[in-house]
Amino acid sequence: MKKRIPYVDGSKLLLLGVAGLSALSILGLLATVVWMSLRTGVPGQPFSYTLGNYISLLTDPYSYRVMVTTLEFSAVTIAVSVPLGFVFAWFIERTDLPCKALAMSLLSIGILFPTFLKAMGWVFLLHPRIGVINIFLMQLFGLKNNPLNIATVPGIGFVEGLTLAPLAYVMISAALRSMNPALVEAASIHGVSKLRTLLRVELPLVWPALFSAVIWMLTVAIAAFDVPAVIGMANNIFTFSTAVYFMINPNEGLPRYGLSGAYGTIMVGLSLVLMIPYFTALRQSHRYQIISGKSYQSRLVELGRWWLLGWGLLALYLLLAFILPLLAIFWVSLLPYVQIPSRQALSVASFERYTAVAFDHALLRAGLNTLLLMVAVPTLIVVISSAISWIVTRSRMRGRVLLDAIAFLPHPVPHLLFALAIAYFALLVSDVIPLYGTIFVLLAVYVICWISFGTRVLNNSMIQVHRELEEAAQVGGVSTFRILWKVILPLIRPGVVYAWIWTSLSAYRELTMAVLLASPKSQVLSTYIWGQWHGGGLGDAAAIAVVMMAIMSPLVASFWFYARRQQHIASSV
Amino acid sequence: MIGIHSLTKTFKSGAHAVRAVDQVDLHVNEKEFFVLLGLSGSGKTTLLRCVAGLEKAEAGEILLGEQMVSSAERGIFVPPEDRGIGMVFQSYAVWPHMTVFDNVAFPLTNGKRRLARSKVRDRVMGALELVQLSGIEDRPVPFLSGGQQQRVALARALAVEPRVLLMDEPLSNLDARLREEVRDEIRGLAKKLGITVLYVTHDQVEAMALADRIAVMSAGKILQTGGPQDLYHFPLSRSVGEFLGSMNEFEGTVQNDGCVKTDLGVVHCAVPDGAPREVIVAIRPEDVSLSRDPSGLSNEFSAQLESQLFLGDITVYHLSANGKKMRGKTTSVDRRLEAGGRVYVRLPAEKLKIFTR
Ligand SMILES: Nc1ncnc2c1ncn2[C@@H]1O[C@H](COP(=O)(O)OP(=O)(O)O)[C@@H](O)[C@H]1O
Ligand SMILES: [Mg+2]
Repeated sequence: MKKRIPYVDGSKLLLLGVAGLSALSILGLLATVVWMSLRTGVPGQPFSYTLGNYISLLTDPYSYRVMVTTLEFSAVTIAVSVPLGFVFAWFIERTDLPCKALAMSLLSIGILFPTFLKAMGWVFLLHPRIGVINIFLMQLFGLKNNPLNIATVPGIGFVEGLTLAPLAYVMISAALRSMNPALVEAASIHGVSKLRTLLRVELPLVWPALFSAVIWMLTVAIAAFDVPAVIGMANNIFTFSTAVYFMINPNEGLPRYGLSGAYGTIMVGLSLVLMIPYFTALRQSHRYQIISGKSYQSRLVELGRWWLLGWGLLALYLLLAFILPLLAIFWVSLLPYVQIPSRQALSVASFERYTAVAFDHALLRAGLNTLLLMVAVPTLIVVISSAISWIVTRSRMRGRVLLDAIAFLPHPVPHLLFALAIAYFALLVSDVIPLYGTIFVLLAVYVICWISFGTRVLNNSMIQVHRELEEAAQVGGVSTFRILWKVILPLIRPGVVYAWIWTSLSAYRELTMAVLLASPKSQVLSTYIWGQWHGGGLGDAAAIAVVMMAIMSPLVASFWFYARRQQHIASSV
Repeated sequence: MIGIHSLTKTFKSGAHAVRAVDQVDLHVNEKEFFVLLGLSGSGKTTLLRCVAGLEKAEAGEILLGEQMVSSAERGIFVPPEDRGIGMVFQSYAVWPHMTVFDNVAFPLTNGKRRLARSKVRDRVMGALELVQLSGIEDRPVPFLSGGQQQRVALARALAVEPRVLLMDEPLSNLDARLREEVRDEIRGLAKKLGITVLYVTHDQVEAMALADRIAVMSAGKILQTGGPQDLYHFPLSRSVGEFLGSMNEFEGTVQNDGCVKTDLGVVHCAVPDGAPREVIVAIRPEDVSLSRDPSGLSNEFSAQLESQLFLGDITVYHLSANGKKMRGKTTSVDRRLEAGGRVYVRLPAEKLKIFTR
């Protein structure tokens, strides 16, 4: 007879190992940020523990300028993205706007195109010297000075706000969709006008969701790197993120890891503190939701001819956020130097850059590296997230809630900091393991940061698989690992494919983490464009960007195919 | 075959705890068809899942045959796959991404005790034949009807040739007609194969049709165990009696002569020794006999026939005697009885049940 032998399932141990290792990596990297803030010097060299980094941070007026810039930038970002998101969400969820599916597709696809490319486009449009619109206006009205300037804090915030509007739309529309329509109908039955209902009933009800969207936009804005880097850095405008980058990649002198760690620690703290109001508001908004019955459809506002306004706004948005910047990039890529569209400019336009780019070996290597990441990163994420999500949603292990919380951490915490930490770590161990500057560092940090996304999606899918489907296999003697592989994963395949494609696309467009970690031998497409851009090769950068987007389009289409079937877009926030 | 000794299982959610199974003792014999009957939430599923090894009890023991599979006190816990059980779940739990054949074969090809490839086919086809699903083994299960899916689940559970078959309300998702058909098949199959079955349901008709013995559960405890007839005719408590079928109940006081004084009048019956003075006298509607003229036997009372309800196989009478409402039920219709008329009801002493209040 067996006595007190705890039953151990080998495959359960494997899952636990994978999940545990990932959780440790996340916590380890966060701890590294704090640790480096308390050390002097460059990793690998003699050091001492110090509070000096914090002291210099607090005493340097530059820090305060960065802080004010970040706040101002975030405020403009929120002021642009949240109202836009709300308007779109209202038109799509609450009215009989025609062709809603198309409107949703157009908005969501916008999220997928690389943000830094859109930022480049805006530089081509509104740069004080080379901006096409500026030149056009100056010629038209015979002005001496440029009338508009994108390279200002509000300008950067405006562009960031445009790129984040779809995210705000997704968050707010999810809230609108699940709000109990009876609450609104009760008002209209009693003869309250539409506008009043909107202002007095609907808005207060979605207020918590709106507030949580605002908080989330704030964390995203604080973490944002692409737009402030592309537009701001060359003009000496620094937010927290770009300041951290600049400390590691200064124009002159040694990288200041300690100080960047101090900045990083403050950013980690800030993003975690912001999660408190975020989740409080979210819980509040869940309380207003309908409990049962998806079929409960609220009556839609009949727009009549006002549908033109809805689509007009949408078209204007797409023009500004998407079409104009991308057209500008395409236009610049055809020209020897930036000029406004004219017959004369058209006569010198050519595809010369593209042929030159096609034979660039460094670019080819960057492309191959990108491809590697696009396959390896999503695959690893799906494997790891499956393990974590299984433990969180299906098992009854102690500590699974904690595991879920840890897996969520990289969501609010700026990814730049994870990259910073892993760079520091790779430098520290570079004598033992020559990791620093290799593509594997990028691989590791991408995976670690996007586990949060993978687990959000897979948690959602797995929770929908009936427990008894798994237990039936368990009673039949099938091991946990095989149950996961042969029963659960096939059943949640749409979710898995969705997570895979999304992270693959993210790996394709990622700049923030790559720019901190890529060395000459581990360039990827985004860093290659970034390098060209900063080296002054605007035209070449534009040409590669166009190629990059052309390659991306079929991927986006395939993503959209799955996302629509899944109605999974909401979890991508 | 199955021995359960003072088994206790508590669920804790936050501050409050639910004792889903409370000190349960149970013995199921070899080859017996044993039914756990109780209202929803009474702990049947939890008890069944403890036997399966899907829940771990915090106290008590479970024996399967000679094997101790769960003993909190001795730290023994045998996982489900080593208990030699088959299980049919309430939701069928057939895997929607597999064909009928693969569903039945999956535990045999991926489970702990795998069969040789050559044997799998025979075993699966054999199981499918038992449940009359031969010929559709290549169909994906989502295209099957509810009844067919239920059979797939049954075939899957039988294919592993379990010592014990556990079923959790396997018929509750089927429509009424199909339910009866599959019910009778399940019993026939269990008897033909000679396996031990532990079966959970909340439907007393289903329980009585299936069971060799029934245990009635309530609030985590077993109220009474016995054969269907025992339970129906000789319930030990009012709640067991009510659960197995409707009853007319009269509050009464036991008198010194052994009769019970009720609102109806004085009722002659066999009051068990040790019964308290305040009792309830109960009788099932079909035991109430009804006639237009008095018969002169004991326990006969005059009553008013308020209405009668013809249901085809039976007729239900709504009566009122001495201001007390009661119901009678009979298979033979006396055409002379009319609503509003006077009738005589008789409560045969041997059919009366005495419960404490
Ligand atoms: N996993 C669980 N967590 C918490 N409480 C549970 C769980 N499963 C069952 N219960 C509770 O235990 C009691 C018995 O449930 P159950 O065994 O499912 O009853 P039945 O099958 O008789 O309907 C109920 O009060 C139920 O709410
Ligand atoms: Mg149950």
